[in-house]
Amino acid sequence: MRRLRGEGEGEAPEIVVEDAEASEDGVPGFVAKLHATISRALDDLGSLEVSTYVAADMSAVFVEEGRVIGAGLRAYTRVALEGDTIACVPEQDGEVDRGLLEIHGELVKQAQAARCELIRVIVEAAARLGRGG
Amino acid sequence: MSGLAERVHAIVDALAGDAVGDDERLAALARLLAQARGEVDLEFGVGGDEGPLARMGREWSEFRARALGELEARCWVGDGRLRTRVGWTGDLQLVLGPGVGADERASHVRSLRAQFERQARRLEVLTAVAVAARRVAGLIAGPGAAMVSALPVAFACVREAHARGEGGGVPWE
Repeated sequence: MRRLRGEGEGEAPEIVVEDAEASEDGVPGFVAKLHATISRALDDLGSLEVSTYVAADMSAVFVEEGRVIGAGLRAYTRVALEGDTIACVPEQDGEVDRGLLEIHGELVKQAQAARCELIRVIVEAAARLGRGG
Repeated sequence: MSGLAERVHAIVDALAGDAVGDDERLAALARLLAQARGEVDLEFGVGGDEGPLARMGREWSEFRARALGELEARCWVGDGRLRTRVGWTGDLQLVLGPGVGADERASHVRSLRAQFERQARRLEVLTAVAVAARRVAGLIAGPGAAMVSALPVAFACVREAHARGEGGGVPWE
């Protein structure tokens, strides 16, 4: 992007010339956008959260500001990057819902595997973008 | 998707070294590159349709907008009694309705795995385009060159590399 200002015109407005190369249409603009996306992902990789809800009426379920509405939270697991894990599973009459616990555990395993793969892809992408190949 | 980067490099190497031989698809990429360099007139399709470079530019724009948007977006996997809201870094919100059986659960877990794979693949493809575009920009630099065409040409190279490795289809599905 080049910025030009008329000479001797006092308060002349600044003219901005958008170079296609520097804009999103160009390679540097696209690479910068991809870098920014990867950086945001790295910020989000600090912990992994899996929440399991139960709903009696699925048609009443919706999401508002990232929160699931219309369903009750029944299991929650948070795994920190360094491995610390918090798991909350409520019991009902001294029992936990085995079926629910099973699928929640399966999802935690899936999410951890996906997270590992994503970290590999992100590290590789960052390295390749950094070295240009 | 493993090996995509290597296949893209091989294709760009062939274009850089003018070593397309009798490979028709590489020859088409070489023509696209020549158009981006401004060495040949832009080809137009039948009845004044857009030419190959313009078409690739449009397809790249559509892909870029969709892939970048979908990369970070949370999405729902599944419907009916079993749904999971998936964040692209792996966070999950599962909603379980009444009466879900073991088969349904297993099938849902497979769908989630496929969604994770798609998300990782999108990032790999976008990275492959960015890296290839830098090399392509070096190849098309010069008087009369359309530098903004580096990304569409790189995208065409990545699609070709994907087709060679996966036997066709589109690289982000």
